[in-house]
Amino acid sequence: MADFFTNVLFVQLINGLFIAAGIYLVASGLSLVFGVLGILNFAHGSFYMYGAFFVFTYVGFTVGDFWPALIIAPLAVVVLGVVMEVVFLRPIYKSDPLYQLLLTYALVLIFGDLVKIIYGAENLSVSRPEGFESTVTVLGSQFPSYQMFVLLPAGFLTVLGLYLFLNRTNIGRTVRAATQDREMIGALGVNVRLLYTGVFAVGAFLGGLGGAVLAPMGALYPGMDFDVIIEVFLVVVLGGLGSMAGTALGAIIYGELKSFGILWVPELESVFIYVLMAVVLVARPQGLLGKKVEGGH
Amino acid sequence: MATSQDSSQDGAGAMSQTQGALRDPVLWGFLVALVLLFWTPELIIYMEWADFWIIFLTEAFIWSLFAVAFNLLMGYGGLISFGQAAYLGIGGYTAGLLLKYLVWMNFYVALVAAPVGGAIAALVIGYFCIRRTHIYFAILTLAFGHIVYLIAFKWYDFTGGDNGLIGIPVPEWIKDPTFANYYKFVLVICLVSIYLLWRIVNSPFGKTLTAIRENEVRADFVGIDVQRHKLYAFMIAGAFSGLAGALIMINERSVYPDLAHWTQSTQVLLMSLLGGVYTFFGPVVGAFLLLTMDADITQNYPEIWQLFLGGTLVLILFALPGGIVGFIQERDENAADDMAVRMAKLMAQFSRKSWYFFLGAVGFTLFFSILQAPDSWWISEDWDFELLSLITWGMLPRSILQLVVGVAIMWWLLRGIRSYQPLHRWLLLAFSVLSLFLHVYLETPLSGLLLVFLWVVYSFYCLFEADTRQAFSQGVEVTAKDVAGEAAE
Repeated sequence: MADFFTNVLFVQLINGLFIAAGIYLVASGLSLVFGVLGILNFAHGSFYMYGAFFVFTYVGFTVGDFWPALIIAPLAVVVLGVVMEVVFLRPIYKSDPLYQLLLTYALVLIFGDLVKIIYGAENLSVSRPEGFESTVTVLGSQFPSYQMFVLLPAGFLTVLGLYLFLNRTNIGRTVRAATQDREMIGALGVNVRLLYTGVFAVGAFLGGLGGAVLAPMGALYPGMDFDVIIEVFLVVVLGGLGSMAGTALGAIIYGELKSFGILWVPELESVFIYVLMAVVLVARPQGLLGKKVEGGH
Repeated sequence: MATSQDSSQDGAGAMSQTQGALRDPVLWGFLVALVLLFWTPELIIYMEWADFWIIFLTEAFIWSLFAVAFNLLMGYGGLISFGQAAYLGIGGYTAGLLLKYLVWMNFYVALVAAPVGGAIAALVIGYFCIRRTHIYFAILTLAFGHIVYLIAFKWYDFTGGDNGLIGIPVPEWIKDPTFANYYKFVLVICLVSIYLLWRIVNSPFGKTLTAIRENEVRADFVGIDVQRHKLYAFMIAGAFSGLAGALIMINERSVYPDLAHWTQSTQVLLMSLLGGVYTFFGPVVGAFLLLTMDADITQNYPEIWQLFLGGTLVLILFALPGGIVGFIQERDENAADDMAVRMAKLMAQFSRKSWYFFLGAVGFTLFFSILQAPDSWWISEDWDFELLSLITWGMLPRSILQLVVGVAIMWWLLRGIRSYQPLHRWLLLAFSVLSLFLHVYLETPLSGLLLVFLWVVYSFYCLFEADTRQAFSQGVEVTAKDVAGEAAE
C-alpha cells in the first residue's frame, strides 16, 4: 500500500504540478492582459508559439546555448507584442469587445502562417540543456530533472513574482487600479496608453517565457498556438478571468485532473476538464475565484 | 444571387403579419432562383470545366446554408460562436455513422437524422454556453467545438479516428458522372432551408432575438425569456449546420475529423463578416466570394491561405465593418434633410463607393494575377505589338492601362451624375457591365470577376432605387457646393 502511495499517487501529483506550472506560465499573461486591458487576446497562443520557435532558432543556429535563449526569446516576443499593441489594438480599445476578439483572432491566423513560412511545416525539437537530460530521484520515484529544476521553479517564481509585483510595488498598484477604473487613473495623471502597452508587453513576455520553458519538453509545430490557447482558456475560465489567484488555482486543478485522468481513463483524459468546467459554469458562472459580474459581461 | 437580394429589399418593408406566405415577394424570388439555377447543369454541360463548375456550385450552396445558419447566431442574436464547425461535424458523423453501420438504414432517414443530431448537440452544449455572453460565450463555444473535434479524432473504435469514415453507401442516382443530380438535390434542400431561415428571422421569434442582441437587460425587463430564446437560436443554427454537414459528407462519401476542425469555424465566420453580418443574404455572398478566393489561391499557394484569411479579416474589421452587402445597402438617411440635400448626399455616396469598387476590382485582379503567374510582370513574349490583344500584355502594363483609362472614364461619368444627367445614369450602368465583360475576356481570376459582378449589382441596385430614379426624372440641380453649405450651417 505504501508503494502505491509513493509510486503512483505521489508521481501523478508531482506530474500534475509540472503540467500546472507549464500552463500557468502561459495563462498568467493572458489573464493579466484581460484584467487590465479588457481584451481577450487570442494571439496569446501565438506568443507562446513564437517563444518556443525563437528558442529553437537561438539554440539551433546562433549561439547554441539554452540559458540566454530562455531570456532572449521572450524579449523578442515582447517586441512583437508591443508592435501588435501599438498598430492593431490601440485604435480599437473603445470598440465592441467582440470586435476586439475578432481582431486578435485574425492575428492568430496571420501569425500562424508566418511561422509556417519561416520555419516550414515539419515538427521541430529543442534538446534539453546540459545537465538536465537525465532524471532525479525524489522519495524513491524518478522525475525528469528538467521539469523538476527548471519548469517547476519557473512556474513558482512567476506566481511569486506577479504577486509581489502587483501587491508590493507602485507600478503594480497602478496596474491593479487600472483593472478597477481606467478613466479614474487616467484623470489622476497616469499615462494610461503607456501603462496598457507596458502590461501588454509583460503579458507577451509571460507568453513567450511559457513557450521558451516548455520548448524542450515537446515538439514544436505550427498549430501549437491553437492547441495551447484552448487549454489556457479552460484554465482561466475555470479560475475566473482576470483573477491572478484564480488562474493559479485553475492551472493546478487542470494539471492534477489531467495527470490523474490519464491514470484512470487514458482515452478520455481531456474530457474531464470539460466536464469540470461545465459544472463550474452552472454552479459559479464567474469562475472559482472570479468577481461577481453584473450585466452579463 | 442578384434576384434574391433585390427582392429581399422589397420584402423587408412589405412583410407584415397579415400577409399570406404566397404574397411574400421573397418566396417568389426564391422560386425564380430555384428554377433558374435548377437548369444550370444542362446549360453549362458543354462548357469546358463543366464538372468543376457544378461541383463548385454544389459546395457553394452547402456553405451558403451553413453561413446563413451561423449568421442567425452572429448577426441576429449577437452571439459569436467560434465552434460552429462542431455541428457541421456532428451532422456529418450522425448521417455517416448511421449509413455506414446500419445496413437497413434509409438514406433519407439518415439525412433527417443529421439536423436532429445537430440540434440535440446544440441543446446540450448550448445549455452551458448561453449562460455567459460575449467573450465567455466565444471561449466556451471554441472549447466545446474543440472537444467535438477531439472525440472524432481520438475515438478510433467508433468514428475511425483520423482515418475518418470512408466508403459510406449512398443511392445510385447520386453517383452520376456529371454530378448534376447531386447538385440539384443540394440546391433544392439549401434553398428551401435558407427560405425557412428567412421566415424564422422575420418571425416574432427572430425579432425577439434581435431585441435581445440590441439590449439584453431591456428584453429581460419586458418579460422575454432571454436564455430560452438564445438556446432556441443556438439549436436552430445547430440543426441547419448539421444538415449542411450531412450534405458535405454525402458529397465526399466520407467524413473526416477535419469537418469539425476550428479552421472550418473560421471560414464560416469570415463568410458572414465578408458578406455582412447584419444582412440576411450577406453570408451567401460571402460564401461564394470566399470559396472563389479559395479556389483561386489554394490552387497555387495553399500555404498562405490562413495568412490571406487573417489579412482579409483585419481589412474587413478596419475598412468594411458592414461587409459587402452591408456596404451596398448602407444609406445615410437623415430625416431632417430636404429632398435636394438627400439626393446630393446619395449621389456623393454613390460616386465614392463606385470608386472603391473600381479600385478594389483593379487591385484584386492585379493581386491574383501576380499570384497565379508571378513571371509575367511586364509584357509577354508573344505580344507582337498588338495593341488590342490585351491578354498578351503583362500584369503591370495591363493594370496601368486599366487604371488610367478607367479613372478617366469614371471621373467623367461621376462628374455628370452629380448634376443628374439621366444620360450618365445609363452610361454608368453600361460602364459597370462593360468592365464585367472586359474581365471575362481577360480571364481575370474568379475573385476579381466576382467583385466586378458585385459592382454591377451595386450600380443597378443604386440607380434603380426609387429615390435615385426620382432625382433623375426631376432633374434636381444640386452641386457639391450646396451640400457643403448645408453641412456648414
